[in-house]
Amino acid sequence: MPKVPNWQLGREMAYPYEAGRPEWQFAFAFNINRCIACQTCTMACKSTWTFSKGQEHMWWNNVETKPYGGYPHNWDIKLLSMLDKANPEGQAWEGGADPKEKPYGTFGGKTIFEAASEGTEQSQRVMGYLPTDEEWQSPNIYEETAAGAPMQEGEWGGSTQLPEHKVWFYYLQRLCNHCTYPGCLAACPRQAIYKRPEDGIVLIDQKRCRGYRKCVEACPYKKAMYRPSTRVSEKCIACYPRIEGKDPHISPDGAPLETRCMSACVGKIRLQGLVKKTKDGEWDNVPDNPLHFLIRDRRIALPLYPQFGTEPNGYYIPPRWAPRDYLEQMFGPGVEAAIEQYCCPDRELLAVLQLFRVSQRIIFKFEIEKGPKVAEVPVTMPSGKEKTQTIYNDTVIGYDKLGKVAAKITIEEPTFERDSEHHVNSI
Amino acid sequence: MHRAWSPEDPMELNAAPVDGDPAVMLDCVIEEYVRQGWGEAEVMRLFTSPGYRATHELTQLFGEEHVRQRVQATSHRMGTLRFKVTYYENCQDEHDDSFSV
Repeated sequence: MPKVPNWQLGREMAYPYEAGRPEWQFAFAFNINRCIACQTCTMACKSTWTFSKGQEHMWWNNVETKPYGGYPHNWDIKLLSMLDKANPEGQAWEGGADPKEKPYGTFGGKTIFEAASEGTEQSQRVMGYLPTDEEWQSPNIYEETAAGAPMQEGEWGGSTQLPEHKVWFYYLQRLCNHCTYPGCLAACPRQAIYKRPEDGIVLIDQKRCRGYRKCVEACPYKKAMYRPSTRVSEKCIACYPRIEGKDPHISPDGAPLETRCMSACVGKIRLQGLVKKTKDGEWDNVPDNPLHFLIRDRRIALPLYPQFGTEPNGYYIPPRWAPRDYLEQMFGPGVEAAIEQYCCPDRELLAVLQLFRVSQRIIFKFEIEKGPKVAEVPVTMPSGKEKTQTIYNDTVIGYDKLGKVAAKITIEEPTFERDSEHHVNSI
Repeated sequence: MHRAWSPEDPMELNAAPVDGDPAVMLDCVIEEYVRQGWGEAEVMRLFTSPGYRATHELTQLFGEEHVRQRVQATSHRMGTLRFKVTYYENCQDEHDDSFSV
C-alpha cells in the first residue's frame, strides 16, 4: 500500500492510492461554542438535495448532541471501539509538536486504513461497519433525554436506573468532510468515487456506482448513504454549483458562494471556503486566507477525529465548557491551546471571528484596518486565571475570489449598562 | 423493581456519565452571545423559548431568575460588543447594518 503524508497525524500513513493533488480544497471551520442546534442548516440541505423518495434517512448535514447523540446512532463510539480492539492501548498521540510540520504531535496508533490491513477480512481496505436500519432511523432521538424513552411501569427495560446528564453537553455539526484521503473512495470496488481536482470535493459517480455500500461501511463519519429506491449510494456534493459560482441569480459575476448549509446558519457559527494547495498537496502558505489563519496559523479550529486518518477538511473550534479528555479524543491534542486562545482573542483573531457567516460569498482573503484601542474587558480563563482582553476599533474586510469586497465589519466600543446595585451617581 | 445500573449490561446501556458542569456551560453560552452583540432581552429569549432545547433546559435546571442574573452580570462585566457590518452581497448594492442590541 502506498505511503501518503498526513499533516494532521504528523507522519506518513498507508493508503490504497497515491495522494490526490487538487488545486484548491473545500474546507470549513465551525465554532461549536455558538451553536444552539436550531437545525436551520439541516433543513436547508434537506430541502435542497434530499427530499425525494428513498432519501428519507439522508441527512447530509446533521447536528447531533454530544456525548449521547450520533447519526447514525453511536457512529463514533462504534468505530473508536473497533480501533481500540484492533490496537489495544495503542491509540495515542505522542508529543513533540512542531507548529508547521506536526501541529498536534504524532499519532502513534492505527488509522482506519492501517487497522484494516491487519483486519479479519482480506478484501477489506478500510476498517468500518455498516449501520443497521435502526441506526439510520430517528436522528436526534433520546439525545437530550439520555436515559432513553419513558417506560411504562412494569414494562421490561423500565426497571434499570441509568445515570443521566442534567443537560446537554454541546452540539456537533456534521457534513461530509471531503477528506484528503477519503475512506469511501478507498473502499469503492468500482472506483466510482473521485475527488475533483479543481476543489477537492468528493463525489460519487452515479453511473458507475452499483450500490455495494462499501463506501457506507468505510466512511468513518458515516456520510455516504445508500438510496434503496435507486440502488446506488449518495453523499454530500458540497453544493458544487454554488462553489463554482454557477448560479446566475445570486452570483451574477461568477464568484464562488458558500454551500446552502453554511449560508443558512443563523447562529453565525460557520465559515466555509477553499484553501489553496501546492503541487505537492500541502496547504499553500496564504496567511490572509481566514481558514488558513484559523486552522494552520493559530490552530484554533481542529479536525474531527484526526486519528481516523482520512485528513478531514472540516474543523471545529472546541466548546469551552466540556471536559478536556473527552474533547481531546474527538479533536486531538490541540484542544487546550485552541480554547486558551479562543477565550481571550487578540485583535486579529477577534476580527477574523467576525467573518463567520457574514456573506454568502466565499471569503478568500481578509484584511484588517487597524483602529484605536476602545476598551479593556476582564476575561476569566478556563484555568481560573484572570486576563484582560483589549478591544480595538478595527475593521475587518473580507474579499471574494474576484477581489471584490464581500463584507466589512467594524468592531466598536462596547456599551456598558451599569449594575443597579452600584449605581452610585444616580439622581 | 429496581436494579443497579451496570456498565456491562448491553441491553440497557444508553448512556454513561461524563463529568461536566452545567453552570460553566451556562456562563459560556451567555458570554458567547454577549460577545456577538446580543442584549439581555435577546439572550433571554434564547433561554426561555422551548424551541431552543439546550438553552431552555438550562433555564429549567437553574430557573429563569438565575439565568437573568447571569446574563446581567456578564453584560455588566464585559459590556456588549457592538459591530458595524456592511454587506456587499451582489457586490453592487451595499447596505449598512449597524447593530448593537
